This record gives sequence, C-alpha cells and structure tokens, in this order.
Amino acid sequence: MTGTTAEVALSGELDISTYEDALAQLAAAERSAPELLVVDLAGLRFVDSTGVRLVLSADERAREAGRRLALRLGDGPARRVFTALGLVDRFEVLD
Amino acid sequence: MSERESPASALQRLAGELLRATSPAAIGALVATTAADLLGADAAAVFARAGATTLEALHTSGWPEELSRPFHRLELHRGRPLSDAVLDGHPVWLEDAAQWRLRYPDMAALGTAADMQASACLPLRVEDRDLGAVVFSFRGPRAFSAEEREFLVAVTALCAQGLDRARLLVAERTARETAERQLGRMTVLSRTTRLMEAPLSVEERLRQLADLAVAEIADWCAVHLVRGGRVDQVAVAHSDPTKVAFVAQLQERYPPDPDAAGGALRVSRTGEPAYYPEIPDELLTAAAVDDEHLALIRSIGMRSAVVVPLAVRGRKLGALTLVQAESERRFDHIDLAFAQQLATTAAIALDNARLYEEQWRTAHTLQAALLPTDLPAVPGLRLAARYRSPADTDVLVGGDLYDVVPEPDGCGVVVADVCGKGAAAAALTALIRHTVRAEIDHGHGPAVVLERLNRAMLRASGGRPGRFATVAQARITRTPSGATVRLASAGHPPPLVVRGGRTEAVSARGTLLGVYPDVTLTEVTFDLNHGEIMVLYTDGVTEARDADELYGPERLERAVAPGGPAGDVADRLLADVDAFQHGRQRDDIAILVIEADAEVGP
Repeated sequence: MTGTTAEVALSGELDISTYEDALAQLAAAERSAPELLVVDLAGLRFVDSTGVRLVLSADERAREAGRRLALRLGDGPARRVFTALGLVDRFEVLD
Repeated sequence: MSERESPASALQRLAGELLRATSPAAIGALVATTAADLLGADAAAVFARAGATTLEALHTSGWPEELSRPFHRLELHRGRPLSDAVLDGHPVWLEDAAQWRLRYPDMAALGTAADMQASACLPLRVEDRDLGAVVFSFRGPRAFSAEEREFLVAVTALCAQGLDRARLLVAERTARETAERQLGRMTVLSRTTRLMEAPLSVEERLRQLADLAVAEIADWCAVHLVRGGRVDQVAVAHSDPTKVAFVAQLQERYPPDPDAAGGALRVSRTGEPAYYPEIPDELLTAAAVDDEHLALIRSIGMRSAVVVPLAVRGRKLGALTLVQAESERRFDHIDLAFAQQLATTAAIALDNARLYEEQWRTAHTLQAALLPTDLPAVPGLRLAARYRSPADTDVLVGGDLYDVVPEPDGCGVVVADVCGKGAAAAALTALIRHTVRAEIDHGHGPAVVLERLNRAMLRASGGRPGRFATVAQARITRTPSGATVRLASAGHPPPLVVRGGRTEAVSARGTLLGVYPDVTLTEVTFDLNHGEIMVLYTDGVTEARDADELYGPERLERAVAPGGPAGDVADRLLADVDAFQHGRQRDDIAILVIEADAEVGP
C-alpha cells in the first residue's frame, strides 16, 4: 500500500450550515486510510472559521494516523482566509 | 305462553335467531327466553365462564329479581348442581323437590324456591371448549323422559355453538380493534417525536401536538405549562373551532379552580395523573359554581378523561389533558398508559428545549460579563467600543472580545474572536481576556503577550489542538504628537488606520492561536497623530452578508474613511453593517476605535 491518494473537493459555501456535509465527505475519504488526502478548497465561494476548524481537525487526524493531508487553495476565498490566519505555511499546499 | 309450534320448526327458528346474534349477551337472552319457551321451561339462566373458577350470568328469566340477583356471579363449587354439570361436563337432572333434597340438601330450598321443582342443569360445551352452563327450571315435578332429555341436550348444544361463535366474533373484533388502536397509537407517538423536533416555538409545537391528539385519539385536548409560579393553558384543541371558542368563553367567565382535584392545574403542580374512565354527572355538579355553569359544562358532553403530567427527570413542566365527549368513546387503562407515554415524549423534548435556552442564556450572561461595562478613561486617547450579538435565539453566542487595559503611559488594547459558539467558546474568551490582562500588566510587548496566550490556550485544551482564536493586541503609548502603536496580530483581520480621509490596513502577519505550539508573530509600530484613528474589529464586520455578497474590506474602509470622533466612527460603522445585512446578523460583531485626542497633550 504505497502512494494511495484520495481527494475531496468542497464547493459552494463552507460554514456552520454546511459543516456536517463537508465533515461527512472527509470522513468517507478517511475511511479508506489514504496515504495522502487532498482537500480541494479552490472551488469554495465562502469559508469561515468553522471551515478552517474542519480542515485543522482533519489535519490533526491525519497526523495522528501517520497520513498526510494537503490542500488546494485556488486563488479565491480559501487562500485569502488561510493566508490571513497565518496557516498557508502550516500546510502542504499543492497550488 | 304461545301455542306450541312443532319442535322441529321451533328449533329451526331458534337456530336462525342464534345465527343472527353477534354477542354473548344476545345469545344468552335468546337461550333464556326463546329456547326456554321452546322447552316449556318456566325459568332459565345462562352463565358464561368468566375465569377458571367463576361463572357470570348472561341472562336470567322467570325468577323474581331478588332470587336471581345474587347469582350474577357464581364461584364454581362442587356439590352444587350447576357446578357439577360444568365440572363433569354432564347434565344434572332434578325431577322434583324430593330429588333436590336427596342429592343437594344444602341447595334444595333455593333450587325449589318460587314454586320451581324440576331443574335441568346443562353444560355449554363445544368440543373441548367449556363455555358455561344453562339451567332450565319447571314449576311442578317433571319426569325428564329420554326423548325430552335428548331434546334439551340438542337445544343446549345449539346454544353452545351460538355462544362459541359469538365469543370468537367478539375476540376477533377486540383483537382487530386493539391492533388498530395500537397502530394508531404508534403513529401518534412517532408523529409526536417528529413534531417535538420541529424548529418551532415550544407553544407552537404544543398546539400542534393538541391538534394531532384530537385528530387521532381524543375529542378534546388541552396542554398546560408551568411558568414560574403560574400554570398557563397554552393549547386547547377540538375538531370544531366553535367548540374551542365556546370553552374559551366559558373559562373566561368561570376561571378554573387552581386547586380542583384532578384538574390540569393541579396535575401540573403535583405530577400525579388523574383518570376518569367515566365522568358521572355528580362530578360536573360538584365542579359547577352555579346552575348556569353546570348547564354550560354539561353541554360540552364530557364522557371520559385523562390528565397526565408533562414531567421529566422529576421536573414538573405541565399537563396534557385528553377528553372524550360526543364520540362516546371511553378511555381505558391502556389509553391512560399511552397518554403518559405521549406526555413523556413531549416533556423530554420540552426539557431539551429548556436546557438549550438556559445554556444560551448562560453563555450570553458570561459573554456580557467578559466585556468591559465602561471603557476606562485614558488621557490623550478617545476610545469607543461597540458589541452586537445576533438577536436570533437560535444562534448561540460567539466568542468575540474587546478590552482596554490602562497603563501609566497609555494603554493596552485587545480584540479577539474565538472560533465556535456556546458556553465552551465563552469560557475560552474568558481565558483570553484574563491572560492578556495579566501579560500586559507584566509589561510584555504585543508579540510576547500573544505567544504566552497561545501557550495558555494549548495548556487549557490539554495539549491537543482545541478551539482557535484570532487576536489583535496593541500597546499604545502617548507621545507629544499623539501616540505610538505597537501591534501584533495572530491571524486577526488587519486594523485600519484613518489619516486625513485616507484609510490604510495595517498588516502584522501572524498565526492564529490555540493550535500550534510554535506561532509566527510579527510586530509593527506606527504613529497616530492628533485626530488620527485606528479601528480594530472582528470578522463579523467584514463577513456580514446581504443576499449575495460579503460586506468586505472595501465597504469597511468607506464607512470609516470620513474619520471624526471615535464614537461617531464606531456608530457609523455598526449602522452601515446593520443596513447592509438588513438586520439579519449571523455572527457577533466587535468594534474598537482608538483616536489620538487632538485636545489633550502628554
């Protein structure tokens, strides 16, 4: 089992109202225990602190399980938010 | 007695009538009258088994009332003719008073009372099913010939078959009704559970529960709630609204007695259910205050009622009242148990809603306690703060914070936003406020204050990444020309500086707090000259939304650009954000404006 990758692309708005759905998508991808989990936030129109918290906890789960988590941030809201929070350096960002 | 028809045609007529009878009572009446007539008996009594050792009279005829009344229920007792017939399964023939005295000396007086002499006691059996017995009695002695005995046994067998069929019909009908009622109850219960989870006010949910109850299980339903020291009726339902209006008028004219035993008000307070399988007129008479009241409550036509407490975990929240009236239905013990189950389901949902509201109130109280009631006076600076949480009670309180800590040469200020809502977020907000105050008092600069705050947050979350917060902290020192600001920001939206109608975002990059043990923080230092202002805020401002857009940094800059006294800037910004989101606020908003005072020098 080397080089397995799973990718989850989130779209629309990521806030408290869509948190559960996004969490379910991540959980489904995590069940296959991929070596690399790519979370694609480039398509998000809006992301707030709830969305950031979702990514932070997914990252923590990956680290605990010895997996890697990487992000695609695009050039929209997700990159602005992650930059503002000083988080871009904390993640493997693929774009 | 009518002229004898031929035994064969009489038997056929009896058989036809037995076939049409559908209840044991109707069969009993036929046997005790038509069959007795056919047999030429002067008196008859039909008994059905009502348990292992008991017989119950279905019908008696021919005996004076005072003789038959004590025998409505009989315990089987060997050594009595009817019991012997039942227990042995064979007829007992007693042809005259002498035989009575010889064979049943204890029973002879009774058996031959009312001029009766001869009796035939016959078991009612179909195959091995023991259904009861019948006794036919005759005035004067009667020698039962073999032919006559055969005829009596044949008629009895016919009656037994009729009784057996009626019994099965009743059992089947009862089983079907029970199944239908059970199905109905399950449906009501599951709909109640769904209803109680609906995003409606408590009152609206209870009104709908009452509507559901009158659609399915009762003619009337009322719900009462305990509120403070009072018990309020929050719902009354009946399928006919004019009846609801009638009762409302009635209650207005004659307010219910709060201490009436078994009334909803009392059940609400005691938590003890009240059950009236039948509502006799005496109960209404006792409850009425005058004749007119009595006439009015009689006109409602209440037949049967249950009042069950809405109670959970020992807390008494109210009462659910169900009443049967014009449908003529009656509540039984199963209905009572079901009503209690229904009330418990509703009470648990109510209690959860109450806990939620309490938690909400606690969090808001805590939040309010975390904000300074008045900003301190700081020489050389004018300060203004605004805080606004969403009015909607469905939105839990967030964790926005602002604070000002006076220092001999100026002050320290902080604005923070904790991720998440509710009591846990408020607790973290409290930690931030107290830690920042302590670290400022220790004389640390902004970057060190935030670094030490980060460590405190990680300690509080047990070393695991917990809730995060974005924090902007500034140390403001008076100077002859105004003030010098040292600013550090941990992922917080950049403060704005307004100078001569131009705005500038001051970016001090830094990592959010509460997640990583090592945080990158930078400090920027700049001057505020007399009349210049700095605006700190939380993302409730920039992320305020109308139908399709965020408020955003550009609108923010336009709102604060005109400058002016600190209080005016804060008011203008809050009003602009309010107008933008049309009063539909989703997140907390905190604004802190610092103005280098033009009037006061160092």
